[in-house]
Amino acid sequence: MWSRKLILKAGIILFLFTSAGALLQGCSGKQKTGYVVIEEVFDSFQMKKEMQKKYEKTKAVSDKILDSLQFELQIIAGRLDKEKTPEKQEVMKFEQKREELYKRKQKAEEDMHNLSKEYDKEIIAQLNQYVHDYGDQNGYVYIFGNDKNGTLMYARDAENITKPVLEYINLKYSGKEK
Amino acid sequence: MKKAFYIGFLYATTLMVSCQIAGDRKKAVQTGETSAVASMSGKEELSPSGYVSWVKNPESGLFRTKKIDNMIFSVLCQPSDYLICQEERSDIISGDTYKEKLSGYSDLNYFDLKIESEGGQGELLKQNLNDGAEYDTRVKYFSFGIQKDIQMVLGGDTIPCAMAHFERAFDATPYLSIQIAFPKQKETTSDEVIIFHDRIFGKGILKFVFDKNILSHLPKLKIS
Repeated sequence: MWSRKLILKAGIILFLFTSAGALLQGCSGKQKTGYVVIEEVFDSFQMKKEMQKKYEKTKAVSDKILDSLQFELQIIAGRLDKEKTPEKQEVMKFEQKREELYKRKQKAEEDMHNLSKEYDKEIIAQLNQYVHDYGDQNGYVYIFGNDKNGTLMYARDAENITKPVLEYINLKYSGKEK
Repeated sequence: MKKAFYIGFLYATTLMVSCQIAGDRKKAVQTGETSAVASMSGKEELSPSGYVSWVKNPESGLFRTKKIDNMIFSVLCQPSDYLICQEERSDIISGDTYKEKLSGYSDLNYFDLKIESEGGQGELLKQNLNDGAEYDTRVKYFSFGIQKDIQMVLGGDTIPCAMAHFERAFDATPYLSIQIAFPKQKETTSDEVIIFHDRIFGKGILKFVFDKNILSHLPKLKIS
């Protein structure tokens, strides 16, 4: 059957492979890479959902104020329409209110746009930090972001760590992670 | 020769297994350390200095911290006994003194919110300013505006911050310290979640959870 030499060779090779494997693995853990689907992570991040609600609440208040100004303007316009020769003062008042509404609408749009940018920045700051922490704690060398403009053209399904990363970042955000 | 083969195989297997055991043992030691600090709660009587040290120990569960980019936000739960110890600054507190001081802390739950920059120097409010006016805006915000950006969630209830006192230290400390307080609630069967929306440094909504089991089993303060 097997010659002595062959057994010895096999033994040495097996010994070398397993030792090398153990050494490479190390006691500190494996080196691994993974990717996350950025859009999915961003949209499902609990902080993003809460900030979205805050944004919508602020917008609703702003819209309410503009709507009441609009309504006031409509009342004045209706009154002016009914009069054959409306008073100059009334016309001026209407034009002033219209100008005020226009400026307020512009300011509101600008404010909401700035608020949206500010919130996005805050969300991304925390999201990036928690993904970084996940990579650190779980021994990842790389975690790629797979967005539509992304640099990752192909990845095996087995490397998709979107779900565990999402679970982790939501836990971290909620403050429950010890 | 067969022997050499089997010895080699056993050696390699032992090497791999021992690495795994070492890793597990390391985790067990760390968990053991955490358990030792946490297990003090509710059982031992601590001297005033011991009590203060226990509260400030990160393993006690009363100190929660979050790092986002280079900013570190932390919240320290300050039980009434801790505040009495800090006020008296003595390792001997008489029963009468304790009763008198305790009544002053009976209405509110106190916490210390600390904000610092990793590796930062000098006054934190002066870091990364766009213009001079921004410094004044920041001072005004921390002095008067921050209270509305802090809440506590207890069970299903959101409790507004009753007090936010900004301890202005200028260049003396590289961090900001704000003592915050919430009205004491009857309900104590839920975790206490402190929520702070950071608008100045742009790190967003931050949540700090204090375990109800730890809060309901605080160690006893040794009274003379």
